[in-house]
Amino acid sequence: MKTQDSFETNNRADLNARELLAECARNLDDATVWEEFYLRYRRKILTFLWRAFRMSGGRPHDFLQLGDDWVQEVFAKLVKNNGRAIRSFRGLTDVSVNAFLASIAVSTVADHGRSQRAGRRRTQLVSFADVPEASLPHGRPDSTVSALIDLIDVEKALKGDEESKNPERDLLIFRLHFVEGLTAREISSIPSFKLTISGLEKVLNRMKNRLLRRTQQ
Amino acid sequence: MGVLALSHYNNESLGDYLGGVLSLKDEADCERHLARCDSCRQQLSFLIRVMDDDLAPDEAAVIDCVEAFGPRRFPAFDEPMKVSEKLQSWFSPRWRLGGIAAGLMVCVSLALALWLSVGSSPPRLASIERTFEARIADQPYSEFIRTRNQSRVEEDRSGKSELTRLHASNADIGRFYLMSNNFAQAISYLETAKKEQSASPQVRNDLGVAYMESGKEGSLQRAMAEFEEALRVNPKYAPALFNVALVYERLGQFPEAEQRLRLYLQADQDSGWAKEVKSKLQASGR
Repeated sequence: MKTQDSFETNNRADLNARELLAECARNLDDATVWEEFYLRYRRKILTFLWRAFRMSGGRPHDFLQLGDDWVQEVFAKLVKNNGRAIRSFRGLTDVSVNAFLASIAVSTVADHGRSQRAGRRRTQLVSFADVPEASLPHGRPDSTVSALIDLIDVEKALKGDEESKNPERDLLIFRLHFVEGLTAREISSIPSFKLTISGLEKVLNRMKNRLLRRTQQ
Repeated sequence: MGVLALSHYNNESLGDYLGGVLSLKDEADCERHLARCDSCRQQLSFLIRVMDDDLAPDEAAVIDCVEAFGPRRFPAFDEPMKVSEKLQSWFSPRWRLGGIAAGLMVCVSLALALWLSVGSSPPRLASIERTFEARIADQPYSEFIRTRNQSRVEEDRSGKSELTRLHASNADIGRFYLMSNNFAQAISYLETAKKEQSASPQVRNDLGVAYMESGKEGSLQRAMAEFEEALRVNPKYAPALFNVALVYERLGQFPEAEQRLRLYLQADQDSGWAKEVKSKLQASGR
């Protein structure tokens, strides 16, 4: 016969990401539910922290010293102010949990960067000047289109695209790819676009061709 | 969210957008803002890259290192204090003072370590328990004692202080895995290091050791090729000379092994490794 403890332990292991976060938010002082959360997400949080740190110019041996402290800091942020952060979580999917934790991890690394730049203006964002070359777009956007971006009014060109159902969104996709250098796979991870990688590539090709046609007119 | 649409989005709001938890109206506002605001779009791109599902091998290595030495349980559970109280107590003035004191001690130690390490390149391995017979580049001598379970992976053995001395190049990470008896990972990193530093006898030697100790089919031949390449670059490179003799031994080619052991003694006569070579020659009765 199952004991109450083993029943609860199994139950916690069965919780999906959203349910587990909700349990943690409801039971800020329940060590067992937080331990489950810790065991499940520690590596993921470490990964987010390391990437944010590396893209901000951090080096591996510094991260070996700081990584664990930052994981604790992420957890502290979740429960601070009577769990305001974790109670504000409204996501329903694994992706939303990842996005939630990634945003806190990025803020944690940014806090560290800010504290190292004492005297600077406080801001919630990492300014572009602070992002070193290593974090700049990995992909190399199409050089032909990149050169055109400076020459034409992309916004105007895309808004006049009769084939597009959502020119506003196309403009964002265009800039994420050709300006920020995100790959089609990375952009397709944005849930609101509801686009597969191949669907996104089609959208990009359509926009690219439209811009090329426009310059030839 | 209407107000946010006019001002910049912070990480948490961008996380909400990426998590798909905004209302349709807020989502549209957010996208309109992101299409035109360079700094918010850059931050969104940053967040997307942080969230990438694919973990690259070099990322995994760093995370493995941190995980190997960090607490495996949630630290707040060690004492009966409430989770939230304990987490928040880390930020109390008392702990801050303690943190500053500890930070100062770490800084002094790091400065001292840095001062001591100037000019000592490549970094040397500290004297550690020798868990396999082959010799890693720059490895100080210690006696090899055979045990029943030589191949177990030992993640925690080498200590955090040893890791922090590494600069986490592919060669260093490969060597870390080699020291942890994780030969598959060691081979992966050292193969990459070989492409970067094809002429380095140290990398060739360590890669050879990784193959040799992995015990997979054909691994001795691959190990031999790496050791021979190291010796082509530096014919008197002692670790490779030592390891070549071991490979011949394991292949059952004892005359060749003996010949290589004698060759080794021409390059090194006094070290602990040399004594081990001499005792091998004595044991074989030659």
